[in-house]
Amino acid sequence: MPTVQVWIPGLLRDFTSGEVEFPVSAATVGAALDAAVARHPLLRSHLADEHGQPRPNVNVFHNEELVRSERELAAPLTDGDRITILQSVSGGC
Amino acid sequence: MVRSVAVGTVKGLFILEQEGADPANAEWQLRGPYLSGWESTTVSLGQRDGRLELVVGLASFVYGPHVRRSLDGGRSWVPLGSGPGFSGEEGRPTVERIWTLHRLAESGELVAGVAQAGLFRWDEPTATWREYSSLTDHPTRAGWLPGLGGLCLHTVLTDGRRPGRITVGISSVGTLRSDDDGVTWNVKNDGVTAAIPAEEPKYSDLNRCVHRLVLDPADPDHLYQQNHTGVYRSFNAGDSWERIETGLPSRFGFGITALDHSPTVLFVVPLTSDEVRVPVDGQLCVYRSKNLGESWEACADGLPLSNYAAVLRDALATGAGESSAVYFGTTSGELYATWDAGDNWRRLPGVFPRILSVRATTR
Repeated sequence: MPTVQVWIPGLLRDFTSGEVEFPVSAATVGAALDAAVARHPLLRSHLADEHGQPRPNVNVFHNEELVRSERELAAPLTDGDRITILQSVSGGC
Repeated sequence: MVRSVAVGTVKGLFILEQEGADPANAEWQLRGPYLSGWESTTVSLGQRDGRLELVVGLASFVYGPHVRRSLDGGRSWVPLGSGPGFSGEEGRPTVERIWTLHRLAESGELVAGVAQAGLFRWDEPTATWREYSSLTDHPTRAGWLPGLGGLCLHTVLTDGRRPGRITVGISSVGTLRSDDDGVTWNVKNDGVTAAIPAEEPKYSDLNRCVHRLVLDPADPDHLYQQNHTGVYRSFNAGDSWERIETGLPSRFGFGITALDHSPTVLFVVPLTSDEVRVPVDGQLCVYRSKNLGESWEACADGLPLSNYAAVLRDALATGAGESSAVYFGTTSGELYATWDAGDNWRRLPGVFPRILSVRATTR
């Protein structure tokens, strides 16, 4: 099983006991997100609503690629990959 | 005596505190912002073991809503579970925003009113939020229309003298009341003008866009509401309503509050109209009624002469533990207080981001 690093944005670090980055073992991008939520369950409701629908302004990157589709969630991981959670660039002040 | 004022803004939570019996002359200490980056959409202030207890509804347009609690005056925070969430599958309502936090009068339990029109009770032993599902599944729900802020349940009222009764305000639905601890709910809009006509006759008693409800501290059957279409009172717990607008420069506004005074003193902050949501003629002015809404009088001493900022529904509040204290925050980030039931107003220190919620207490 590959081991990858998951990076957490600032606002969500209150739900990871301050962890900025941590390793998970997972075969796919989706499985890595599941593993991150298993490690820090309070992340779940901030990545998706209570019915499991992903929040539209939360972006997930697999290395440099934005994950948008089921196919990309199913993409296989290799050792050393990075999963980055970022808010979308939008909003105003 | 320590006086604490919690100020929820779009950029975080601030706390003002002062010690001393004379609030007009004691120095204020400003702390915060706490929970920076999150909108503090509503605040609940209380005491636990002599310490200040803060519970805050939080929102982010990216990461969604949740609720956190602090028992050390805001220095550390603990999430209350994952926050409220509707049961069921996709297609059911979702929690978009926490609009109000309220302690049930009988049990002291915490409930949260949310958009999309839901009510949840925090169950401390299991650390979970319990949905009042009969409200979610109310038989008229198909006719419920959202306002600009969504389908928001923004007010919860309970009183220990009326066990089992819970009254809620939902925009743009109106007032609903349960007399059996939230098992069943009845629409209570008789006498209130609709914001827009219902498309279907079976929903003709809906679309009453209540902006805020308040309960008379002297009589739990006396309710008052600032509505999109006017200001109303009910002397029968919401069974029927009548207009109370004599002396007001406008029917429109958001906040309404009631001072536990003898007699009760009501406060509203009128805005020009639903199309022009600024104070009338640019004069930020609080209106006060000392006769249960029969008439209103302006009380603006100490308020700025030219100010076009509005006061949102959760940003006008009486001070718990003080018989003559009222506080309000504006959309331009100014905070005002009176400690003589509106005779004189004083601006408190600080310029804040847009103020969403204000609560005050003493200990």
